[in-house]
Amino acid sequence: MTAPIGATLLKLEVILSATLLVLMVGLIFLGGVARMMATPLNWTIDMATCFFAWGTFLAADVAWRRDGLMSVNLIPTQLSARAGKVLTLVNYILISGFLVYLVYAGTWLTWVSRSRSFQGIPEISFSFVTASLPVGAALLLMTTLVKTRRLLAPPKEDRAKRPVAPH
Amino acid sequence: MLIVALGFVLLLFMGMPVAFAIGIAGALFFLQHPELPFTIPVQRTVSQTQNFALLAVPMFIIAGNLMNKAGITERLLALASVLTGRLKGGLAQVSVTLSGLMGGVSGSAIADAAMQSRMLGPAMIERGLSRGFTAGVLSFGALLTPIIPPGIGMILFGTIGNVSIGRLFAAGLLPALLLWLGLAIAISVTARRRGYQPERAHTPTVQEVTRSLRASIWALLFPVMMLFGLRAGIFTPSEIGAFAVVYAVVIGAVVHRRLSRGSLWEGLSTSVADVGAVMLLLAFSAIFSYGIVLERVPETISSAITGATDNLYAAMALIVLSLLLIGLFIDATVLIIMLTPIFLPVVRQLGGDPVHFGIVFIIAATIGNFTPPVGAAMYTVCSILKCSIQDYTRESAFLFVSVAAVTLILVFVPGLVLFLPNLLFG
Repeated sequence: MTAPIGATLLKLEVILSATLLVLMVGLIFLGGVARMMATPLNWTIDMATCFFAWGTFLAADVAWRRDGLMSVNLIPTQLSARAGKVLTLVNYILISGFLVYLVYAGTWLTWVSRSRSFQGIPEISFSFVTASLPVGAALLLMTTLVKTRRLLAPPKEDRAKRPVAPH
Repeated sequence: MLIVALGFVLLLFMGMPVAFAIGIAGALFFLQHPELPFTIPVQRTVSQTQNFALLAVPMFIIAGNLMNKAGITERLLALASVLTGRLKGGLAQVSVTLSGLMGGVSGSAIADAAMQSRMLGPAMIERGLSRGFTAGVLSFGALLTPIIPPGIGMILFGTIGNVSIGRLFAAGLLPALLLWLGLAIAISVTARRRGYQPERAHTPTVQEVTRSLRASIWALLFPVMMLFGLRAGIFTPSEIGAFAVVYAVVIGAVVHRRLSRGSLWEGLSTSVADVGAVMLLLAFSAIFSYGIVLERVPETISSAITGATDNLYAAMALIVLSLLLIGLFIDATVLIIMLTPIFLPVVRQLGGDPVHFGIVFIIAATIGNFTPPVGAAMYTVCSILKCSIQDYTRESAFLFVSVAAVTLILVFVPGLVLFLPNLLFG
């Protein structure tokens, strides 16, 4: 059940974060050109940094799903398959705990900062930026749980359900 | 902070992704200090993504990936082969030269090492170069990429330390040339001893050189234009980064006609994961650095260094040596983010030039990407080439000695670093 949903979600996530990156490029480019023509636009920078937060955490989940986060595999590779599996499981549990905290504290902070305005713009709440972290952490948590499930699943099921990263 | 540091090392060696290890270890500090608001880690993480100067990081990552798809890499490879294929060590020499040339369009050592491992790695092993040496060359060669403008490390250092990024960009060029020389000599010596053959049988003709220069002109012009853009003081580095992306698309789609919709998407999709990995690390490192600042770790280290020596160059050499040592375990991006605020004040206090120090610091930190047991470029290259860390370590020791020696020369001869920026920026 999780595999097709995971694949769709990953695709959506990649598209969304790529779109945010492209928008950031466009906004900064526009800001530079506008200033060169002596009509500076200050909102381009504000919007780009706002997208930056969302882009960062969505892209982080893409990297995590694709096993693109760097790590030190010196000791795990020296262990037996079983011990390595246990160590990976411990890692996933610790990461999950940390992410649960980020979701909780992030949601709380998003709630209390709703009256703080973003870059002094009264219409936009800073919560909109802060929310990127709990949402990103929730996605990372989901990815971690999927990874844990795959780790614990019997080998043949593991092969059948391995999602293919779209390019 | 001791528990935080120990926790970090423990998690690191448990194989946890570094970004999470930094975040979780950093959070331990808050568990020890229940009087601190529990939302600070979240605030710190989010605020890291609100730094406009850091926007240059994703910009140059995207630009580098798109330049790769824009048909620039193949042209530069042809140029590198014409220029240095005749040297002993063949493709190994070509690979280091290509890193230097790629440095002008891309700013990440890890990306360069990954790209070249896929492009040149198998051919190098096929030509009879040992797997470990191939991996070592592909990894250490990538040292040139981040110190030839643009460089992500220079952007991070300049932003955090409040140092002119234009000056840093200009200052990287001459040291890069020296590092190339150091690596080329090391490769030649190894090649002579092992009988590795040159890639090309004859010395290139003037015609050949001109032809490949002309084919690569857009890639070669880019760093020059960028330096002048920054020199004029009209644009911020983030804007230059956004221009670089647009430039890559225009060159790829219109001039070289190599960038299709499919390859544009591929470049963007790769960029997403690259940006995610770097930015998550940056974001979570803010949790870690909170305790460092609160417990005045920089001051403690500063006074330790100034207590040991009040000679500027001796202090810098000490810093370089400790960076090489810490770099065994921690990668460049993390080192630059965490240690710039610690070491730069010391150097300033002793009357050092921040640009001179910056370049030396970035080189020493970047070497950390290549040195075992922990090095991102090393892991990337070794996993692509299926090379064991033991082979890699044994075969790349000489390359390490050569670049470390060049770095120490740069410490004691600041003119080598400062000549170009002083010429260009006055």
